[in-house]
Amino acid sequence: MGFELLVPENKDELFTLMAESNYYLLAGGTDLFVKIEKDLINPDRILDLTNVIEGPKLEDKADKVRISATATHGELAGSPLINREFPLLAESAESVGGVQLRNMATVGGNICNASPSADTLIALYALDASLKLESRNGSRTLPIDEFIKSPGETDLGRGEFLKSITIPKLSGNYRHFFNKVGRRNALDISVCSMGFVLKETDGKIEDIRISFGAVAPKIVRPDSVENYLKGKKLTRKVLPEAKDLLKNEISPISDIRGSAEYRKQVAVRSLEEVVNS
Amino acid sequence: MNIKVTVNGEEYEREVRPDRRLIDFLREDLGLTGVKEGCGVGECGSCTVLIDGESHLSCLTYTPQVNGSEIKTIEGLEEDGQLHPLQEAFVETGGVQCGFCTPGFIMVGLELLEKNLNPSRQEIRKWIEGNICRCTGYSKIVDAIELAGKKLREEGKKIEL
Repeated sequence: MGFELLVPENKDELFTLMAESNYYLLAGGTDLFVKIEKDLINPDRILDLTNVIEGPKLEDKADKVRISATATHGELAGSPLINREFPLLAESAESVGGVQLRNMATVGGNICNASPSADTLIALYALDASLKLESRNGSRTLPIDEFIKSPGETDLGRGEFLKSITIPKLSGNYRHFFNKVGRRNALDISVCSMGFVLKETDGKIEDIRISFGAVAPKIVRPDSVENYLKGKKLTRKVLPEAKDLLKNEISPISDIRGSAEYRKQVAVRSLEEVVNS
Repeated sequence: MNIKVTVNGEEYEREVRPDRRLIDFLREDLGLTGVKEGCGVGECGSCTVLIDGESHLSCLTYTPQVNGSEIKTIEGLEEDGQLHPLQEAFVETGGVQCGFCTPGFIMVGLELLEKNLNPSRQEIRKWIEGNICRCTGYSKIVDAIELAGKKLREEGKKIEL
């Protein structure tokens, strides 16, 4: 027990502190502090990113939206910009915790925790988000799926921090859908969650992006299902083949929230939501 | 480390350990025991306080994070011995039984009423989803928040956080 919690005022201070010793990075703290409370980690030094990441929480650019890593779930869920451009992201952020938790928990924290059941990741995967990481040596940008390696593991290097998330705007008429299955409505961790965005032209699917959470070590974008559905009409006829393809893309585990078999059934069944949407 | 905070309108400058949780600072150092600790891991909402006008969990907040902030706890609501209208509404509707969760519900309820003095019952239920009560079954808590909004509207008053 016993740690230092430092609040660097700018990037320079942060990079210097990062170089000195081992550290944990802090954004909203709603996961980090729970891990400390439960004795899962025992940090010596925690560095708070709040003052380091400057600028607006949300920026509306011509063809994309830039989100600061320290934007909270409450800020995403309540933002007219996010609700207009990416309802899927607004809804997934709204599904996390309660008001107090959403006022604290950040989207950057949700990404860096790399939980297979993280709710905003569902939306960020379906929306092809990319991440900007910064270190003393400069910055790099990479797609979200390359950043997340396995449960709890990311590509974040020593001396690096996640600065922002960029999502390209969708042009045309897209439908958004978010579905989270848990044991209760409030404050739950998903048994299976799904999001998709869909664009149809002349009754046929022009673009579809589906993402599933809590059914594999990472969020899954089932390419084979997306590719199969493209160009087809969205009717019940496509379901048997789409469901079979999906079964091969997911590998759920059994845990206290549900068995692997149950999760598989929920995931496959939720494809019907795409047709019914 | 040295921190400066304003709590319930009063300024404090204190030397605290950086691993001191805000809830312990408020309860033990400042004696504000209206802030309750239920689960300690952000699942029950009992420890809710307002930080710069937003409800936060004081069990998952550490003192260095609130340096320079303005904090409000349940103790800061009464004025000259008079209960706040939201506190009065909890008394009137029977929204308090054992009382342990009440400060948390009142603090989060204030944030809702500051944004919207006329929330629907469904909006109230959704808003208090992060708070757990094991006595009332929630109905009377929803009644209380609804009643406080009604009274404040009738009196032409607003909530300022």
